[in-house]
Amino acid sequence: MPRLSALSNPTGLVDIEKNRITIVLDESGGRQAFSLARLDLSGLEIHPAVSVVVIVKRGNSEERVCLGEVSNWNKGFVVLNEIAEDGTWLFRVLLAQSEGMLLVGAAENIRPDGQGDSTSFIALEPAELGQRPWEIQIIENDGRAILRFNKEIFHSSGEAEADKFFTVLVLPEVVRQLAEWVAKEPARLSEPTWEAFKAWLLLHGITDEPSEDSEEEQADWCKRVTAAFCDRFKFATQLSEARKKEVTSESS
Amino acid sequence: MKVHRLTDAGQKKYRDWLEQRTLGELPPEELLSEPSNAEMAFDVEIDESKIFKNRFEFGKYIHDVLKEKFDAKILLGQKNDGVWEWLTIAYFSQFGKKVSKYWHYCIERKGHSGSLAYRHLARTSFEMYSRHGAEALVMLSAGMPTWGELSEQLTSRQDVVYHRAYIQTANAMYMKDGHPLTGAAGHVKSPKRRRRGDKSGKGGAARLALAVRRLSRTYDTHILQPSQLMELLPREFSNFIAKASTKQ
Repeated sequence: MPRLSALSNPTGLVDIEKNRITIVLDESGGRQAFSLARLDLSGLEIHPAVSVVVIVKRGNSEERVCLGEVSNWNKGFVVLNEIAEDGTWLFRVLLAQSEGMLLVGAAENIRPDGQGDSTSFIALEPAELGQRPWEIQIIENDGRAILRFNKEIFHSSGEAEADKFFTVLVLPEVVRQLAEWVAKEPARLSEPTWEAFKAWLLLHGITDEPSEDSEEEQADWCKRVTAAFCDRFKFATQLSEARKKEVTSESS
Repeated sequence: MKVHRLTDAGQKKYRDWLEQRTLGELPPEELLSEPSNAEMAFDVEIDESKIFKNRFEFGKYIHDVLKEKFDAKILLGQKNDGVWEWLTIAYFSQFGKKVSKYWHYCIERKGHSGSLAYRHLARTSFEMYSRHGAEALVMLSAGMPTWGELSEQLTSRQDVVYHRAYIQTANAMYMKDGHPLTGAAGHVKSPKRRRRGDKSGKGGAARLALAVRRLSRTYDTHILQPSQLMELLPREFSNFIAKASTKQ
């Protein structure tokens, strides 16, 4: 390999702009994971066989993850085993030749976009709802939904979120209704305002869009979206454990 | 004795004691087991009478004792700072043979230019052994009470200290028979102080961190073998590279 000693660019390294990349974190359930949800290399003439390598940094810790070839990199969540539990997250996204370890492209100092949860497109808001415990309001132009809960039950969104029974029972239904609304008109997913929801679907393994013609297939798509959401956060287990805890405290 | 963690009161008492301690003095015995000062952290026994040749041996011992049951990440988290301070007290007859700066004995996460936790004698020994295994010797070959210039140069570069190829290469280049080579921890003088032709400090550990950082902009350096990384290093490292080749 040739000897290099300075910060020149004799190898023609491509500088990938930060806005071509979306990285999402998942710190739920005590694990630390990330997903390279988007890597837009259009117009950069990158060979499809180069490897995507991500260097994750937090505090003084660092972990290298290879996500496979750029033509079909692993978009799922990758669990990090060596990264520290505190500090600022920073990512380097590298495109490396499979032989020779020479970099073809690099994006430096990338910060994650979100925590991989639904807060980017589902907001919680107290409301006067009479005897109705909650309702969903979809704001099409903003690409988000609002879960309006009865303010006689919870005074703030923090209080509602902290109630396991409320979140575990209500959130899957909110996601199902939102999916149903989208499925009725799948073209909505190609609008920029629904980008966050689309990225969220991708992270849950939903890579296809709902059928435009078949109502049956639309219903199946909604069911898969809801199931993937419940599986990821193990809602049934969470609820069962919360129930057991409540029974124990009642009997003692 | 089971591994304990200093309580808030214990940490305060320990810091107060450190401020006024004199050479040869040991921390008050009650810091180790008095319930107001220390609480049991892990149901794991340590041998307090064990003598360590260097901090590498200490790091390996604590790693072997704790790692089977606990995740290194959790052990290094802020919640367990009291564990490392308690372990420093447990082995203070070895760590405290000198009177060094307080951050070598208690964890200081706020320094003028960032966290100084990396300078803690006990915690860093464990952290570096956990991360780099046998290759951590280059950072931990100094005796128990000594932090050492080579440790400072290799561990203070927060952006490369977890870089395996960097530490493996440093270990191959700067160590011989378990001891650092002369000049490994040398400093390059500032241009004002440097005379023409003065090469002192060139090719040392501090310069290696800089070189690896530069190379990382062109190569996927993490997966390079030490011999591959040495091939890419600038000429100033040639003396150490030649010595590394003769060791193989």
